Amino acid sequence: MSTEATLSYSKIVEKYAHFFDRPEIRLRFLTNTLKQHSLNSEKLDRLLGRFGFIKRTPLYGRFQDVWFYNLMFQELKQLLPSATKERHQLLRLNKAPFSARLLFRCYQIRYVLLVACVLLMMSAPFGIYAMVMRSSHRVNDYLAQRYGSHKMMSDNASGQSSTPLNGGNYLPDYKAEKVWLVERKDNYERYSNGGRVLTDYETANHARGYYVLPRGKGSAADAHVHREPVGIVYHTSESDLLPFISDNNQSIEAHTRGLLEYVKRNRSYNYVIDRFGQMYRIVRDEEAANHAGNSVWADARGIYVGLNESFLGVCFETRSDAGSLNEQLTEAQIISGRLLTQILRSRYNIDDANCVTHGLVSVNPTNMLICYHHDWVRNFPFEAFGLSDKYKVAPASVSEFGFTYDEEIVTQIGGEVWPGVKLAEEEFKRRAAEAAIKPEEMRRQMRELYRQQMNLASRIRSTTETEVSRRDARSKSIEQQAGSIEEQAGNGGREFAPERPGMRSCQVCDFSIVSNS
Amino acid sequence: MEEKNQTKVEKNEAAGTKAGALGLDIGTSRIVSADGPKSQDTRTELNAFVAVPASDMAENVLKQRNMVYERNCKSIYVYGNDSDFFASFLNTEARRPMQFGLLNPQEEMGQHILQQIIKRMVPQTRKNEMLCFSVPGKGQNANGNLVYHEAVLKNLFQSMGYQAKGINEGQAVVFSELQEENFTGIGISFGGGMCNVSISFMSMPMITFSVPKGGDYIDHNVASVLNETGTRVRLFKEEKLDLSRQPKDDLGRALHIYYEDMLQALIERLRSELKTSGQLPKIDRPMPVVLAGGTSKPSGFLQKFDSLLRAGGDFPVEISDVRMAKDPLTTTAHGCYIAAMSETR
Repeated sequence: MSTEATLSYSKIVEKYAHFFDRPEIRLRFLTNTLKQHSLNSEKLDRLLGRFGFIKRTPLYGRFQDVWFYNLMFQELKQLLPSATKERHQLLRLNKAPFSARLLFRCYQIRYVLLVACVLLMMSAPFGIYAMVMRSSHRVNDYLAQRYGSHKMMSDNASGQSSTPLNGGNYLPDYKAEKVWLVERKDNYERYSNGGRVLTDYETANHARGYYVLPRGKGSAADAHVHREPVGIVYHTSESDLLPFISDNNQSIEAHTRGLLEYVKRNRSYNYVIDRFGQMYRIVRDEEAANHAGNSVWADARGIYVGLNESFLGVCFETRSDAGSLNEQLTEAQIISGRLLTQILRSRYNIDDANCVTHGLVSVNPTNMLICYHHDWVRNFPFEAFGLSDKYKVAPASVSEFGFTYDEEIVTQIGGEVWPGVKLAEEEFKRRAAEAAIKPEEMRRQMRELYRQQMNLASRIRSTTETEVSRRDARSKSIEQQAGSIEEQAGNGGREFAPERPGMRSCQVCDFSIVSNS
Repeated sequence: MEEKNQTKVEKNEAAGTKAGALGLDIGTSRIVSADGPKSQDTRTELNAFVAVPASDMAENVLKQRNMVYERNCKSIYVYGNDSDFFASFLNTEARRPMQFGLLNPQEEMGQHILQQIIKRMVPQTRKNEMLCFSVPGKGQNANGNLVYHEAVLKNLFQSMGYQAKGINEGQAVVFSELQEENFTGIGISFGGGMCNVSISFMSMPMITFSVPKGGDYIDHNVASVLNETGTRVRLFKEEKLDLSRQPKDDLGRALHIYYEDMLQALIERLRSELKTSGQLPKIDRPMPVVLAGGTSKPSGFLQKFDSLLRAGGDFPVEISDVRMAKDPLTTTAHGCYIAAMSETR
């Protein structure tokens, strides 16, 4: 061992020698430690005689240091009084440097420290994960603020308190991420969150138009006609499903094509997500699809009756089995569903409160019962979509209009209604008590109000549908003219018909084509 | 004719010595034992004897005076502390079982008397207790004798039931006085027969040596040049000598000269050992020097040493301070006791 190393170790030992006030103990400590260290070093030198290169590595020096400290601490432990109190008193009284006392203390509790380190190392990934998540949320917030969407979101979310009646379990951190259109091609659109919406089956329907009924007032809606979508209703296609295995690829795709043709023909939804997770736009967002029929939902702004007009319809190619708790979506559908939700929420500033399933909003006005349709009346993976659990939210159909349910419905939906219904019933009773009328009387009044609202909605719809039929007629004549031109050109019509780029781009362009023709 | 020694011990043998670890300073003029950390835990016996021809009358006188003696067919030997008084009584010089720190080969009974003195101070034990005794450092023409000296004493202590270990005298001074410096510094014992030096680093003796000049050298030479008795010189030295003041008479002047000579010799040797030895590690702080031993007792000794040490220009190592031991006579024994305790498990 070199003279410098000896000197350096001696200095270390010297610090710790101050732990002892009695000269013989101090002498024993110094002598034993240095002698033992010298012996150990010699032994190590002998062992590594043939492997001189090990000695040249920096690790060797570190190893020697650790070995030395261990040796010294063992000697200290042996020579210090065994009684803890006496030992602490001795350490306090003597002039040992603080660093030496601290290091020795660490040595004494080394096993505790080891366990703590292991726990720390085990929990570090979680901590890092949590920090990354928190940071990403902050970045999101910042970007949302920067690009202006956050303000509009907060108008919806906090400014008017979108909390439903029972303050349903919203995800407090979740806000719609800012998603934007990256690329638009002939048959698809690509978004910044990786979502890719296929537009092969895109079609038109009548423009949206709806009233918002003020909540809890029992009065008619204001006269303002709203045009923008405010929510999303998730559906199941209830189409035939083949086993989801690779052997069935072609058959599954064939089934999907059939479904898409059907949906397009009937303008059933705004979007369809097939079993491979591909997103198809059917009815354009600005236009209503025939997806929700008789349906009711409410947010902080008011009550929406007939959600075709006010909500976007997103359909998953799957079947709902209301009585089963089994997963009903493929992994790809869940991922795509989340991406599409992000796209739509970002684009239209849709509040989390207005992302619901068809089963929760569907009503039958004939018998005033809820759950006319059962799709996603349970098992919808709200969490996976970054949404709060709407099964805990009181449905406005029950709380506002007094819709009820019967035994048959309960049996159909798996033996019990979702928790939000119970809350809504209580809310309705409370409102009746406040108004000092019987619940039945109030129910009768509210039915009347619902019918008025329906009539209003149908009036708007008939207006817009007339416009559509006129437009369809014009489009048909354009197509016929185009067909005759193609025939004349003898190219089989592949370049012009039936695809109409103008229709896909936007409504304004579409109308301009019509007017030019 | 076979000589049969009869030891007459009228005083309690090894009285007051506690069982346990023991430190022993076996000096040329005195033997000091220490069995505890305090100065009252020490006992001192003169390492000297006086021989008179054996006679019943002389023996009766010794018995009456309660003296420690030993008789064989030829002589009666009075030894230990009583030897000083008995020498004065007979107006003669006490003889020494040791010379220049080692067993005196010129004294036929020296080894035996030394054993008797030691036995008076050290109790028998069966517990294999640790005993550390002082041995001088290597010096001129003393190396072979040193081995013999140490081996004889070791055998004696082992026969008394001890686990014995020799400790350099200078190192014992370090153990006793330099605890706060973690036993790093220079310890010098100025004994009767010689001066012992140890340069210690963290309790490890790096350089040890002895100079064959001590109290006896001074006494002998002063007595010789002034035609005085050694006892008178010694008494003057112990009672009146002040090295910090100018001497007023010849005796004082002569003592100054020989003290200076002894110190010069020691300091020169110290310089030379420090310069030539490659064993001393690079010490990054000044070292203290501690002086001990009976010869360092006179007033002004410390200042004298300090001035001579610093007079010769740059010293090979930086010196922080020069100090006297708390109790110069018992320092070595106390250092041996500390060493013995440190070896005791």
